[in-house]
Amino acid sequence: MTHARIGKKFPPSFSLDVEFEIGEGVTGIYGETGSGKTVILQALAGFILPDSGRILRDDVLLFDAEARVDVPARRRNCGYIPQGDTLFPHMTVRQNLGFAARGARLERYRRIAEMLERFGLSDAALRRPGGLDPSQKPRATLARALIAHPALLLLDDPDWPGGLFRQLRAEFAGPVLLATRDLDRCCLLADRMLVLEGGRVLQRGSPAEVLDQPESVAVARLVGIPNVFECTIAGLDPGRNSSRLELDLASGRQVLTGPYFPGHFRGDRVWIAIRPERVRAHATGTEGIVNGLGAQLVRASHLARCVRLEFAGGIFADLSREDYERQKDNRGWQVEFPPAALRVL
Amino acid sequence: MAFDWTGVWLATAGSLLLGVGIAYLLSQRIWLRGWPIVAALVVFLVVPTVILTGLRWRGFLTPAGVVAGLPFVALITGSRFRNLNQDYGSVARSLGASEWRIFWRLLAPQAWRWIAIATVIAWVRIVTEWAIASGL
Repeated sequence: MTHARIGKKFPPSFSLDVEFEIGEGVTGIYGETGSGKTVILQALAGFILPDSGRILRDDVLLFDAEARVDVPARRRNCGYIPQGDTLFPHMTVRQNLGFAARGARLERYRRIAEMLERFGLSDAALRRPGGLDPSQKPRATLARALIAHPALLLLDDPDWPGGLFRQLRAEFAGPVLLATRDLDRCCLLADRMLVLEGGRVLQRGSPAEVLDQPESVAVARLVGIPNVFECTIAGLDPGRNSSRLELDLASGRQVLTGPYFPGHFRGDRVWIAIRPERVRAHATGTEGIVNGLGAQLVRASHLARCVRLEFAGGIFADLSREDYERQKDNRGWQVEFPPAALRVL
Repeated sequence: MAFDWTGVWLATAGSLLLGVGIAYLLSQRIWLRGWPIVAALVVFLVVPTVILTGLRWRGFLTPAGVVAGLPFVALITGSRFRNLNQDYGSVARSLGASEWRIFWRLLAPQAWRWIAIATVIAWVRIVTEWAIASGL
């Protein structure tokens, strides 16, 4: 278990101030470019000196600003894999692995051969990085990092094929910190995640929690929920598990029915969010719709897995391809917000 | 007067060692940093130190030769060191390599062409100036 508190100022405008724990398994840091992911990794690995804070890994104090402890990078035993290709270009793959291997000569030799075998690099062992094909480079980089038996593996936005991550989990039982801009990848691989923006942790928890219950508007937008609306709670009925929400859209005031929101009162101004795939779209005049709002279609974009409809007023709905094909000739549209899908932030 | 080849070789070796050292320290920003040192190197690139020394202090031609050759080695090697991917050093440190090992296994092998060329240029300059100084 690693406990880190890191503060660092980068004048004039950026400052990092985070506190988090890295347990067993994969911890993901999700954030946009410039949110401070790389700085966190570099501070953990010992390449930059934080202004304040403390890094404790298991029982080893790696950094403490007050006690002026700063263990040099080479004694921290953090496997650091930065972005891009960092295999040493003048060495063969075998020499690259040999650079990292420790122990007696025979043991090193055995371990290098074993890692080359496991990562399917035996044929490429005598080639330099320039002669490797693109799928071999990340494998060699990972093999080199693992051969040193790191106590903590730091991955900075790796653009690896998915299979290599599975292999990483199979080969390496220790803690992994994965910084990424790819939300899908973060959710797929991480056991816990931090959402980072502007050098602050906005939310932490399992990927399911973060996706389902974003704590703030910023997190909702970062995790890809474009439908965030400010509204007033006009009525609450715990008995029937329902609430009435007044929503101010550009097209005028709308009233929605939502689930009961514990901990809120009548008259509260709140932000509600709904995932675009939970929003349904129908033709005008369809009967039996709860929370249906008339809306004007602005744009329909074909995405990889769905068709995203953008309506006036910033409402987004993801429809399956078949659903869209069936409805694309609609004269007018209304969108439906199923009450159970509404979340208060 | 016989031409002092020993002095020329000593001066070349001196500028090689010192130049690479300065280039390393400049690129790593350990304790040499910033433009004053680069500016001083450029000044010595222009001033014919060996010839000037030969006018008054003939016994100090070898140190003067070191100063004459030094800027080539330091500036050319330094620019190579700085152009190398800084991540190589980070990765090597995280793999447990000492600074000494990083220099010999990573920096020097990737910069040796530049070091060799710079040393040859330094040698040519030292020989030329030394010949002029000896003839004075």
